[in-house]
Amino acid sequence: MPVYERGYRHWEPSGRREAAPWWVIARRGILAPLRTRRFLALLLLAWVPAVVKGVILYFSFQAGDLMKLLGGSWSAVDAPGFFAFLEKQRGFVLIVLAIIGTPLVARDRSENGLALYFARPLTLRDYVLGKLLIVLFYFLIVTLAPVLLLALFGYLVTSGATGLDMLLLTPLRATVYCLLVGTSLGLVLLALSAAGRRTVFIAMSWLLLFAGSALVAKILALFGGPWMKLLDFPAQYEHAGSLLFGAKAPLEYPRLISCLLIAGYTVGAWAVLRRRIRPVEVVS
Amino acid sequence: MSPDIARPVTTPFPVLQARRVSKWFGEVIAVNDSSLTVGPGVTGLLGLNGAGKTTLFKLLSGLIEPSQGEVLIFGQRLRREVGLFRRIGFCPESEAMHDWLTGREFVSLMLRLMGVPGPEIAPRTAAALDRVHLADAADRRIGSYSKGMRQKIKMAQALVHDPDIIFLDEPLNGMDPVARHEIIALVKQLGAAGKTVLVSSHILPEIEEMTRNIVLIHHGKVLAEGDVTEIRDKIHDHPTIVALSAPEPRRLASFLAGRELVMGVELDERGRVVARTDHAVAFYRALPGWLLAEKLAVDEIETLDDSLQAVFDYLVGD
Repeated sequence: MPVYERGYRHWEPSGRREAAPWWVIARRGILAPLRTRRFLALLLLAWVPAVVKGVILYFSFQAGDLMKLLGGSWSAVDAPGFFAFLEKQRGFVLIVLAIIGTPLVARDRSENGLALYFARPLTLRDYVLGKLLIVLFYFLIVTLAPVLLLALFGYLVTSGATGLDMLLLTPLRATVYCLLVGTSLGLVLLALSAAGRRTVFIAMSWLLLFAGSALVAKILALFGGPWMKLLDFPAQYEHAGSLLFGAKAPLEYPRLISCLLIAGYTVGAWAVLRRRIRPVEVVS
Repeated sequence: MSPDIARPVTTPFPVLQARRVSKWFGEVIAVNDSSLTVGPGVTGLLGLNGAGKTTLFKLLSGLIEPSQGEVLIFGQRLRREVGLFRRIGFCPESEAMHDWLTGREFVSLMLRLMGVPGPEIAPRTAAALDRVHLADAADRRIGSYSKGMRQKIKMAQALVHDPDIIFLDEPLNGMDPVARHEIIALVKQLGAAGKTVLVSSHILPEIEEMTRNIVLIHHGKVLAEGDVTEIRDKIHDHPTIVALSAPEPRRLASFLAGRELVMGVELDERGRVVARTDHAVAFYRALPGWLLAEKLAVDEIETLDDSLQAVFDYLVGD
């Protein structure tokens, strides 16, 4: 039997891997933006509403009903109150994710990164998971993290008067909601990033999808009725999420429809990613 | 296994093998029913622009999957065994890179993706950067690198995990003469160490400086693979021309004219005996015996048309 290799010294990695490839990608992507002062400033700005809510919470329990009246939903310490806070963070979610997410796949596609990545032992799932975690991390930083801190703060300020709901159930609801919404939004954003190469256009598409669809749906709803709000992309998440938090439904149609739409966005995004990010090209 | 206790590797399978591989893009066939085997050492993948060279290169390196046929690395299909990618180093042609990272960050990121343990990242990265003579610029952003430096950093990321098979796509593009010399020396060194190095290029002198072993692709088909001289010997349409400088050129010419392997003999303007043969390898084997038997002296032998360029021209018909 012929022996083809000539017996050179060969090294191969020993024992367990140091880190899974998806974690290597995620870690690099999470740390890189933190070097930018402007981005750090934006993150701090995204926490301002949380600080405001914290202050209002504090004074509302110190000053009593007058402050609660003035504070409105800002002073609410129940689940719908925190849900309202999460929805108020939408603007920051839009901007932070646009900065973080739009170049994630597009830059690799235009800068030959895909060939470099996929000439290594990683799969499409590793790659997408790594990129998704980057988006998810920053989504959670501006949504879930302040909610968790506020819930703890509210519990401490009220000396436990808000009970287990504040300490456990609200954080749990917020965690489930943020993970589901963050994953879905992250995949949609990555799909947009994979669909183009120029980050400016991708960012514009993201803005149109997020803000533009809401505007168009509102205008069309004036003439075509409440079903036109099916076109409102972010409202579907709010509508479905209101169920989880026991908040008033913001849209007129059943929440199940919004859930189905969100599932559709997510599956569609995954299909786009599978098609556009190709470690191998398959000719039909 | 610890890297300190490395072991020699042998396998009953060829290092790299393509079996009847074809690749279509829509209705365009880029690679057509091509088979080849690549073993240790440096092999040049040659072809004109549009010949299917890049497609074949990507097929062999596992970046694209064949429409038909199969590519095997150590007897296994790459995409079915992604762990095999640890044994591959890939240096792409494109210069576009992660410009916002420093050279060191980029190479260490690529190494981490190979699953190399943390404590080994820094020393291996430093060694790879040193090997391509980029240690001084390691902490500069890639965005500030020259074209040649970008080529070097791509080489570094391809070599940093000590792969068995190294794919280099046009590795000398944009390099200055000094850098070219360094990289050519490095490629030859890798080949001499028993690595399987496949170098793609459309610039023949580049390949000629690195190796005599080639795979020639034209119109999507592998036209020839093997040693240039052996390939040349098989091209019967174009006899090999050998020039011999001798103290007694006329006696040598007269002797050679009577040999069966020699199709024609003449003297050139420099007084050299110029012989034509259809069987260069057999001619070269027989020549020392003839000279000894006839007590003929020869000062210098030069094959006039077994250059890569000549072989390339004969095979592609240009």
